Amino acid sequence: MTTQWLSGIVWGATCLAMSYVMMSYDFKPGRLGPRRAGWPTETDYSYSTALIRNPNKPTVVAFVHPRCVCTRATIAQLLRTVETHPGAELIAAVFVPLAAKDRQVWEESAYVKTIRAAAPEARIVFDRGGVQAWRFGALTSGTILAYDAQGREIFRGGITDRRGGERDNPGVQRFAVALAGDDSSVQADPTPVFGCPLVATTTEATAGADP
Amino acid sequence: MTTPAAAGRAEAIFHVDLDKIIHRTDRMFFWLLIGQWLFGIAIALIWSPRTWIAQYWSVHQHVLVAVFLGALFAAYPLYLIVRRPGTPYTRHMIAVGQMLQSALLVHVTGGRIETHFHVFGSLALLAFYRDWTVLITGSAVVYLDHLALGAWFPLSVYGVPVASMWRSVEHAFWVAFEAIFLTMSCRTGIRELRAIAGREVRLQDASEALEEANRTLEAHVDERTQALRHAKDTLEDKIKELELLNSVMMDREERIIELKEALKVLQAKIPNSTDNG
Repeated sequence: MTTQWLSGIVWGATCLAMSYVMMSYDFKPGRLGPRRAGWPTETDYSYSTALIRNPNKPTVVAFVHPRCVCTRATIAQLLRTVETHPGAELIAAVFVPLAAKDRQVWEESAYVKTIRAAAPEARIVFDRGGVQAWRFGALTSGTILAYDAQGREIFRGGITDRRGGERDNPGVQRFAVALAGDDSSVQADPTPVFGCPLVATTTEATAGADP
Repeated sequence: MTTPAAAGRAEAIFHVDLDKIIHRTDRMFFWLLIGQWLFGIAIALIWSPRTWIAQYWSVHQHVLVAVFLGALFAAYPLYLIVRRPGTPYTRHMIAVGQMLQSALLVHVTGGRIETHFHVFGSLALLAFYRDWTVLITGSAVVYLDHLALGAWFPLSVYGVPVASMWRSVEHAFWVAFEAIFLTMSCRTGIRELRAIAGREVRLQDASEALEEANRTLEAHVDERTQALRHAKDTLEDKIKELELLNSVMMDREERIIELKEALKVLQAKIPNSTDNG
């Protein structure tokens, strides 16, 4: 009887420990550059991408990885929020590798098609090699940056509650508040971003498989 | 009027029937746990097969979690079902494993609200055991899972970064809501099972009484048949005897007739004795 209960306790403890490890992955935020005052002023060295802010109205830039499963939730939350605040210009900065053999798979992914279908007025920009992601400090897929008409950064961070989570969360709430023109969120810390890295470190690049 | 012996027999029948239900439910969970494990892997492969770091990919952790953690959640209950079927310990561990698999499915589907229905479905399936204590174990696992996740990753459970314990209580209330009615259903099920066992005993008794009456009747019939057969045999013997007697009588009658005929012939041949005298 004692052995029986002991084995049950060992099993339960193992399940608990493994569950913690499992959850940690989904709730571990990705890397994100610090809050900035406004739209980047340094020279844009990207030779393939032009990310230009609309000076007449707020601009939202969404950095997404077109093949990361977490993008599904980010796009769902983004389109829902932008739909309720139609005054902002939406730019989707879609990561593509510098030298992708199958470029069409990246540029015509299901997520890109979803954005095109749901928000035809949105501008889709292909960020080759993640140059713009570096420039804007948006190192993780799912990073949303919002700027007012004067170019002041009014929101930085993620709008999902976990990797691939579509539930209501503080990130998307604060994003909606910023788009509504409420200045209270401007100085707030960035909200956590959950998604695939847009820029690989040397270690990650060595460990990863080629596309 | 139930005798102590009949009550004892009813109790024995009740336990045999309940044991059959428990073993059948164990077998159901054996296949369900395996099926859910495979389903979790399939969901992970469809929902999130790969994770990416820029242009590099690797297998998504959800797939690994569905394979290995899913196997871990199912393995111990499966082992107990095979080695110790029908025991209370086995079904309580099944309840733990089943609720953990619910948590796993919720996780690999990105915390979808719809997947939370699996928790309520699982509690209903555990009620098949008709053992309300198993529902307590299942509900406790759900509550502890919420408490632990709420403490470690509040966003995962409550959707807010800092959640009060009362949110856990609110979620637990809805689980308890179902568990209370399932408990009532379990207790009713047990009462009905006992009533059925009692009726079975009464039916057995009535059937035995009927068989006894039938046996007595058959014995009477056999006895009367024997007597009739004996009377018939005696009668047949008498008839045979009479027939024999009759035949002897007829022979004698014929002999008398013959003698009378012979006498007549003799009388005719003999002259009148008075004339000669």
